[in-house]
Amino acid sequence: MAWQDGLALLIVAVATLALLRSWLPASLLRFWQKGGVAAQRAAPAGGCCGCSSGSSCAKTPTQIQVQVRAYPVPTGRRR
Amino acid sequence: MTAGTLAAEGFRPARIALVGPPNSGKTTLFNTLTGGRQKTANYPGVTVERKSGLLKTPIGHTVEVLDLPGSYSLRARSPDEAITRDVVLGRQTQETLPDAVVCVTDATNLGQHLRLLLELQQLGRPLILVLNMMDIAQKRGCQISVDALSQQLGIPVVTTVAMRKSGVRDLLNQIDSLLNRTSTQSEATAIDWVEPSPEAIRAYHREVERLLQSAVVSEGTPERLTRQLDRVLLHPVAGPLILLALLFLMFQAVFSWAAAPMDWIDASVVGLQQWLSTHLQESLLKSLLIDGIIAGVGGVVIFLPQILILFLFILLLEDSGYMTRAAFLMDRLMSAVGLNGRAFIPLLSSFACAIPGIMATRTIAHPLDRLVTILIAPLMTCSARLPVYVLLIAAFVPATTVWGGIGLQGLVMFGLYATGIVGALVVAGVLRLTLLRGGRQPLLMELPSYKWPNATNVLLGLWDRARIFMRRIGTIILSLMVVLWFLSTFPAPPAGATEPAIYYSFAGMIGRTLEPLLEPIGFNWQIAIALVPGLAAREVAVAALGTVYALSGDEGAVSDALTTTLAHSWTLATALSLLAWYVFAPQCLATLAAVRRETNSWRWAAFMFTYLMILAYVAAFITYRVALALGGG
Repeated sequence: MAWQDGLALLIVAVATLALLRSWLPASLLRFWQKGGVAAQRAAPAGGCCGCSSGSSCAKTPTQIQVQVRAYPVPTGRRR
Repeated sequence: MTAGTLAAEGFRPARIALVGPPNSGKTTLFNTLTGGRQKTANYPGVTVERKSGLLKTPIGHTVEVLDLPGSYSLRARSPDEAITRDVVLGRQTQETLPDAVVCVTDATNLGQHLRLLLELQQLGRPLILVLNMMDIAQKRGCQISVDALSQQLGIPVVTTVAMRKSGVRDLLNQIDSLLNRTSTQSEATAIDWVEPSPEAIRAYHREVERLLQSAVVSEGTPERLTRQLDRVLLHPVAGPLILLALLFLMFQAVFSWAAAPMDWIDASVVGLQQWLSTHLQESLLKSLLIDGIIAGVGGVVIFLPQILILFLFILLLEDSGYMTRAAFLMDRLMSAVGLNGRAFIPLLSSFACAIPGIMATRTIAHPLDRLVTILIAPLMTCSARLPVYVLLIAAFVPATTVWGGIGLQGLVMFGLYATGIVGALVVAGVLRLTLLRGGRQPLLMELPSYKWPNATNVLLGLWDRARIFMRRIGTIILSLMVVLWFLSTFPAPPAGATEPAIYYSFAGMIGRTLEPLLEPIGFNWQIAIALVPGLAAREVAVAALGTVYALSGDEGAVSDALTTTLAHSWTLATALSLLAWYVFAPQCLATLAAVRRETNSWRWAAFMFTYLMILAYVAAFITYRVALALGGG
């Protein structure tokens, strides 16, 4: 059943690409997009770290028109 | 349509910031205005970052509404309050000064909330005062003369009940008339603001008193129900016992209520496996579908009912106003190990997921208090760990009752959660005595009135959880299972192989490489394979075990539930060791990234990963050796 074996391997290739897209830096995979690297580095939507693999953060926005802008809030020892 | 797309078209919508003290209903009003579904709850500190949404006013103004973290004053004391201050003053990078500010206050607590309004008035920006929760104020007999207040302040005052969308039309009309008088297309510069002096603050308090005397016709009576409930729920002895009983009930329910729906899902998964097994010809596709996708993904889907039951309890407690009481009750225990009482809510949020928990530490003012809370947040049992616990408990703990009807499985689950909490307190104590000394601050938190949980809120919250869980299954878990199937299938076993094919595969090689390291804690090479993708998301470990054991077994074993397979393959000592490992093992990679962002340093993320890994290994080692000594081999 060559076509079924081929389809299985195609599914594996797609899943691998999907994982790479989730975990590799955006600039490595979306270099063809307009706006250059700076645009791709814009703060991600969502209350999480922006990981597109779907962190289970309850604050992820559910409406298209709602945007969440997360500012870095550093912490550490008091100076 | 977003503000970004409008900006790309050269149009900047008017920007209005919702500002107000914590728990005054800003996010509820934001959701009502924009149609958003941002998380709301009856405790202060739910919103810790800036959110924006668009709305169209009755006369057609396009307005970008900013929902900001709650703050009692512009004198920000915690990182979330600093975000509000900086956005309102136009100091925040990537932000322009809002065209107008809507100050949202709780009408039942004007005395505490009007000071912020006076501070905002000093900025000289267009301002509207919203008296929210007017229904509760009226129910308590509180009468406020809106006209008198508006006249005294010289700004529009609107009354609303944001949860019921009452008064929103009036607010939109006021926004319209404000925008008609204000130019919104000019870019105003940041406001030069200095912190008010103690004398200025005293003057604000005197002004608030004067305003209340002139505008509040009747103060009404304080709510009796809240006081009566608090007399019991905050009692030094009864309070902690009730909290413990509530948590105990929650874990019992997770097991007992979920049994029927889990059986239905399990039957559907097994039925699908058998149907595919009968109708597909032998091929890689058949193996991928049955051993890879269905064995893996099906093993995780089954836990949806338990996750929903857990969140039902959490949402009910959040919406009722009990959460802040729990923080208050835990403060004595937490301060004993150097934790701030405010850490309770971030830690509680971490039971859902460590990421929002880590974000929620922004409400903690002192950097060291905050850092300790961030570092121990992963020790709270997140919902992704639930499938691992449930799988192993179902396989190795008999479904019997002890001590007059208490379910043993629920009791073990409660014990695992309790171990995580105790571990967190111990780690906090050690960090406070060693690396992170100093910076302890007393708990100061407003206790909201008790409210009946809002059914829509709870149902939407459950829907969101189900959606998030299913999305994870459909994205990362599915992808990882497909890749794991490939790694477990290739290369093919050599001629004359005596072990299952997976033993000779790439995944088998990885498992066998890690096995010597994990053998002292009782883990075999199959568990070693599952631990690696489990770093991406914890529940993936369950799916990975499903795939690994499906590929390790014979055809007849396909329809066996994973619990049955594990019960036959592992010793009790191994199962207990794995449970101990999962109580302490580092969170998923997304959590480490969140720690990096919130601490602005990879150093703390690396520190957290290292200490959790050592803790997990030591705990698993001790558990395994003790279990073996007691005959669990």
